[in-house]
Amino acid sequence: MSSAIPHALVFLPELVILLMAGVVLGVTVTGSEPVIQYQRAQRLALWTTLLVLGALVLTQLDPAAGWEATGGFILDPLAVLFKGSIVSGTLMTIVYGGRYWHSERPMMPEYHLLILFALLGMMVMASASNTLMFYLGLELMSLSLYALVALDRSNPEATEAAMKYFVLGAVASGMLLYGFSLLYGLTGSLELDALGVAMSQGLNHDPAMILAFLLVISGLMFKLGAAPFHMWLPDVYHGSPLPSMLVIGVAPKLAAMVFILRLMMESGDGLNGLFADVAVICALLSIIIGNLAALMQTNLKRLLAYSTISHMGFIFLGFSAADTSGYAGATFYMFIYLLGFMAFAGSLVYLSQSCDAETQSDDIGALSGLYKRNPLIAAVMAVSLFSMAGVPPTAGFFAKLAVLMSAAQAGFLWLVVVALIFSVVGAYYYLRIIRYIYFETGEEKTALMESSGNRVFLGLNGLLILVLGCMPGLLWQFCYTMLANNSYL
Amino acid sequence: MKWLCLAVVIPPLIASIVCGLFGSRMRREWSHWLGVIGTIISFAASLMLLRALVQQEWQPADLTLYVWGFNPEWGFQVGFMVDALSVTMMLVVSLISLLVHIYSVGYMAEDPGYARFFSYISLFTFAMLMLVSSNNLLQLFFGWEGVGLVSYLLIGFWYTRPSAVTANMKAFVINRVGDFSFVLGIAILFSAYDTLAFDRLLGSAGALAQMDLAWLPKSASAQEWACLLLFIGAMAKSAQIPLHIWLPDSMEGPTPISALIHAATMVTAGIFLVCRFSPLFETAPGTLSFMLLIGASTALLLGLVGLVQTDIKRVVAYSTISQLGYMTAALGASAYAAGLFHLVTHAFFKALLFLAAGSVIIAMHHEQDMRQMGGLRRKMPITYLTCLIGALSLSGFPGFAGFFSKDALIEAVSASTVPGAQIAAVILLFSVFVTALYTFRMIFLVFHGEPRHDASHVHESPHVVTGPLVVLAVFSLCAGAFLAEPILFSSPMQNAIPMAAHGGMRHLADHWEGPAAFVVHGLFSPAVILMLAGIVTAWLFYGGAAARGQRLLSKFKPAQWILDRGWGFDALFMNFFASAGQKLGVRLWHGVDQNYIDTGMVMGTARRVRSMASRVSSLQSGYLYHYAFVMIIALFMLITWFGFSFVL
Repeated sequence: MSSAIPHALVFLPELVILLMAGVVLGVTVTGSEPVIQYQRAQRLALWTTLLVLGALVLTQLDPAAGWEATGGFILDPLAVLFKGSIVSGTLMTIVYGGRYWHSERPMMPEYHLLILFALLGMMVMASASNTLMFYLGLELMSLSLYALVALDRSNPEATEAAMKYFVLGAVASGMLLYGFSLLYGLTGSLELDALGVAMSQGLNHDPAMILAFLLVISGLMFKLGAAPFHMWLPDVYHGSPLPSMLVIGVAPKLAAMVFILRLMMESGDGLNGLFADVAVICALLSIIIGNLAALMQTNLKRLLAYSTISHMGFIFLGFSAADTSGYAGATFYMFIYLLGFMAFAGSLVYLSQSCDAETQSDDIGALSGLYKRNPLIAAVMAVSLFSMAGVPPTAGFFAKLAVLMSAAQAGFLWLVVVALIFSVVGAYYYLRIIRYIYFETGEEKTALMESSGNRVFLGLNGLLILVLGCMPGLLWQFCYTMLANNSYL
Repeated sequence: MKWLCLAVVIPPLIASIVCGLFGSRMRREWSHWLGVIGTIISFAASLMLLRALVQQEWQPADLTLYVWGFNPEWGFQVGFMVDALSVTMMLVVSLISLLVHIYSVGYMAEDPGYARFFSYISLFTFAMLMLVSSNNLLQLFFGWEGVGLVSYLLIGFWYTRPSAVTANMKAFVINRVGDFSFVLGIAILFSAYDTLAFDRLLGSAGALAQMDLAWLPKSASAQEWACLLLFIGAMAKSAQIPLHIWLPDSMEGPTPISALIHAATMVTAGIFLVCRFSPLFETAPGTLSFMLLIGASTALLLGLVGLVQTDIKRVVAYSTISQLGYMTAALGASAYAAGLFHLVTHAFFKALLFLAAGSVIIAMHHEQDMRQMGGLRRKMPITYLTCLIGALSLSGFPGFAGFFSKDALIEAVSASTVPGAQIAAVILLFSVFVTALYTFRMIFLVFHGEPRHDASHVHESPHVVTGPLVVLAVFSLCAGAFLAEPILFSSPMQNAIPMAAHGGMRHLADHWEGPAAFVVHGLFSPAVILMLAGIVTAWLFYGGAAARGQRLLSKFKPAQWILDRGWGFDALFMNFFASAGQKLGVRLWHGVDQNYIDTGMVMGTARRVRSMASRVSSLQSGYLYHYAFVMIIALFMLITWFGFSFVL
């Protein structure tokens, strides 16, 4: 408790979000027209994310300051790293998704409000050092996400997706809670660091402990969308409006991942072996199911969902090494995946901005001849697809290399071979999209003429993927030292 | 120094990209100005590197600028090795490239592909500079493939001519053979040392001894295998028997290209490679003898083929192959510095000869047959004089650049203790006669005698063409005397290329008393006498009395028959390798490819994947209770599995 930072400063980013969410709430209930409300809310949300980034920097100004857990809340380098990426992901979401709702579609000012609440939940998750705090954050996030999926009330598919998401999410929450309660029963504490003590007392061979751990991991795997807890993902992606898919896509996965990392670090060596075995099974299933099922998809959102599952498989491949380089590899992979997903999905949003509900299509054929209509967006999509397929010199190549290397060094050579074979299968459907973009001739739709800022940001996003592909060493070193310096590993 | 290195390689790249992308949209003059300025910067930066080296008393530098990957252990490096060897090569490459750029302004003036041409040669300059300045094998290989690619593009520059397309295909295929072997050599080195950086590959003799790879055949040491494979790569690039057959055909490209790529720089990449790896080659005596054999036979046999060529460019091309044979023989005799010295002087006089040939070709309106020429010396005095200087230099006339390098080379080979060096020295000595003979046959046929064509509209080429000729003529005249000591004996060069134990260079160094003494001593050497005999013979056959020459020639019909066919190497490749390869290919195509690979593996795999995929997708039923069921079952199975395996 000898923290040199005043406690308020530790919570500063969360406080900012809460405050701004209140302001946005005020905006959405006052004012006249939904259009104006919507635009105000969007501007405010954008400023919020920037302010939060600034607040995060503020908390780091005093490097000597401690970051111990106070009341289940912790601000260690791991938390800062993931919070930064969560906020950046949300910022991209707001920028890319903001113009989707326009006069042709129902304008919902609460869209941004929900994003801010989800963000608050994720920030809490990233900083949670006890199970209760994590669960609170998780539920705040999840409830906001369910609502985001159901946002388009006129669309029955969206309602169905939200329903599925909600019910299955409740099942997963149940698993998680059951696991937490068992942990509490075993260790007598909600705090995560009690786990390490329990491990040192030999609790890691207790069947109840194994049961508790499996329950918790299963619940987290659901949030990540890793097989065999992936079933919700394609349907929810498919049904949800495009900007909501952006929200669900990456940031919640980051928040769930940080808790997995924290859990593994806190429990010391005790559960690493068990976790590695679970990770191997999960990686194998996810990579196989994700890539195979994606082959048959012609709907871009479903395809993206299955590709997400296979990427989660690669992240668990990094976990399977269960050492610093493996965790760093998984983190690195997640960041690169964030960039690729955002670039691709953001481009999809950009392309559907001009069409109304009738003409919009998520079919792969809608991309035919995009190269002629909009070369910049075509290039951004191609770069992000190459990155997801793992083709050098894009960043995705090094992401795959990092996890494959650590898995190979941990002795899972057969798993690496399987992963490689299926990433070749995966390359097929990524390249098929590129074929549609560049080599098919589509019906002449006019290019989007409005000069919105999205184009610039999407272009920068694509460029960043290439730059990271040319010099991956910096980000890799950053991930590695952040994880290696965390006190528990 | 980092910035200087970048200033050497980057400007040609920029010039190439700009010309390549925007060439069709900008004014014609811009393309050549870009290229010329780019190479001027390169050349100036190379000179400054040289000065920096001299001032710092020749401290060689090894700079890594950029690592592509997580860290140097797991990444590819881009870096520069600045030592006497690489700076020498940089200077030669950028200087010749600069002159060829200028020359091309005149030579290519009428060509529709003007910007494309300049884009290619700037790209070539970039790749070649990357090759010679590299500090690791991977970057060297990048440059190696880069120059190969541009060479391919430029041989087929006039892609509407079928012969040009065939020729560039031939060059490409033959170079693939060499590159395959080169890659294998790199693989052996990498698996032995876990690195491709020169300083660690060549640094310590201790590391060499550890090289022991279980998977290599035991009939020779690992070094022997690595060196042999690297050398086969060099053979294809440097046109040594039997992988030389692409070079004569490469003359389909524009003449400035023949001068730059197929005479002065790219074909010497193989020689450079062996020089760079000389410490490694010293541990492979078998490969050294093999190099001697290949080099000496190339020098003699292909020189003889040059005697019967009628196309002016092909004479010079065969002469290039023969001179590359000289260099290879020097490398085989462990006289690396002598090989490098000959490389440098050869770059000057051979570029000169090619450019002079180009000047003649312009004047003759793209007539290349020497039988249609004659008597050009009055019409084209500058071309004639410079070409004569080049010819004398090539033949090794005392005092000319070629004399120094060739005499030093032959002496080093004859004093070497590598097995086979004595025989090689004799062959090389006889080749001097052949060299002088074909060179002066060309001079007499083209410039002397009576015109065998309508000479009324033949005139001297413009200054932009003759200017480079004059510069190169000065170098061909003087370079030998000035460069002999720095390249052969100076300590910085010996830091870059350690003086080998096999005695050739040591012998030379012990007897070296300055260039003047070398000339005086050389006047009575057998090489000069043979050279003079060659010139006189050429005069007898083709100069003074052509009629008598023709009569004499008719007595050599069988020899002419076989030389016309270039010793049958082309026929061998076509009838044996190519046709057998084709038959094998057809059989594999029908038998293995169509039956097994296509239907069985490719389509079969695709079918199986597809059916698996549809089965996997059908799991996604859309029913909520199915999904919940899968989750619960999965959890149940995990608990069962791990519960048993951990508790029991």
